[in-house]
Amino acid sequence: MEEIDNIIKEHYAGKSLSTQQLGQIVNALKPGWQTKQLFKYAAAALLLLCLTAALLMNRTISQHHLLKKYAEEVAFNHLKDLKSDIITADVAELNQKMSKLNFDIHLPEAVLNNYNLLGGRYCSLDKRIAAQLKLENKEVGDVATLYILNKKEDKDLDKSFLVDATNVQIWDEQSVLFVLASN
Amino acid sequence: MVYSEELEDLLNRGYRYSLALTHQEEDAFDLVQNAYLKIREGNKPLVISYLITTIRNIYIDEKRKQKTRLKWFSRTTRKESYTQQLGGEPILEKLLSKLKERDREILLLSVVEEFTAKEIGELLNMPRNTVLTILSRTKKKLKSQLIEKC
Repeated sequence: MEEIDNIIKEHYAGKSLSTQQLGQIVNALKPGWQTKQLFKYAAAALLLLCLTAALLMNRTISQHHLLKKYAEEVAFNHLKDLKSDIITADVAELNQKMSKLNFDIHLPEAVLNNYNLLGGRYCSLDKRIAAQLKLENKEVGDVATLYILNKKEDKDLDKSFLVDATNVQIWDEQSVLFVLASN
Repeated sequence: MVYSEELEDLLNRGYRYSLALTHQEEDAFDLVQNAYLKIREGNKPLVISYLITTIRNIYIDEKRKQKTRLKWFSRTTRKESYTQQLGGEPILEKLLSKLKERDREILLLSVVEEFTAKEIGELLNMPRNTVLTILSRTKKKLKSQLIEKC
C-alpha cells in the first residue's frame, strides 16, 4: 500500500462521532416508530387474510353453483323420462354394452339397497360423457334417474337440491360422480 | 438507547463518508443522522453499502435544493465556513478541503472503505477507468502538495 494511502486512512480514522453524537443519532428515532412498523405488518397480514378468505369463499360459491346446475340438468332429463337404449337389470351387461364410457359402472350400496336397475343409455352432463341409468324404487315402484360420470370437481360433493318437485342428490365415490334424481 | 459496537462502527464509517462529501463536521453529522433515520424508519437493511447510498442520495437532494436558494446567500455561507475550517488546520485537512468533492469521495471510498474501482463506478454511475484516473490524479496531487508543504 502506498504511503499516501496510510496517511489518508490515518486522517479519516481520527474522524469519529463522539459518544454524545452517537447517542443523539440513535435516540433520534421518533417514539412509536416500532409500533408504526407493527401496524404496517398487521395491516398487510390482514389484507392477505381477507384476500384468501374471499378467494376461498368464491371457490365455494362457484362450486355450489356448478352442482346446482348439474341438479337442474339431471332433474330436467329425469322428467323427460326418455327410454333406455339398453334394457337390463345386470350391471355387468350394462358395462359390457356401454364400452364408450371412460369409467366402469358400479352401483353404490345405498342405490343397490333401494333400487332395481331397469336399463341405461349414453348421455352427457356439463359436456362430459355420462351413463344415464333408469332405476325403480324397490318400495314404492317410482322411477329414478341416476347419472354416473368421471369426477373433475373438488371435494365436498355431498349435496342435495330440490328442483321444482324433483329431489336431486349429488355425491362422489373415489373418482366417480353420482347424481340421483327422484320424485 | 444502547447501541452495539457494530452500529457504532457503521455510523462512524457513514460519518467519514459524509465528511468526504461535505468536508464540514456539522453537515456530515446531519447527513449520517438523516440517513440512519431514513433506513430505520423505512425498515431497510442497515449495512454499509446501503448507508453510503442513502447518504449520497440525501446529499444530492440537499444540493439540488440549495441551488434554488439565493446564490449570494449560499455563497456567503460557504465562504464563512471555509474560512473557519482553514485557521490552524492540519495540512492534509486543508489540502482535502481544496479537492473537488467527487475526488474526495472517490478517495475515501477507495482508500478508507476499500471499495473496488468497479464498485465505486457503479455507485457514482461512472466508468471504472474514470474512477481509476481520478483516484490516481488525486493521490498524485496530494502527494506533491504534501511534499511541497512539508
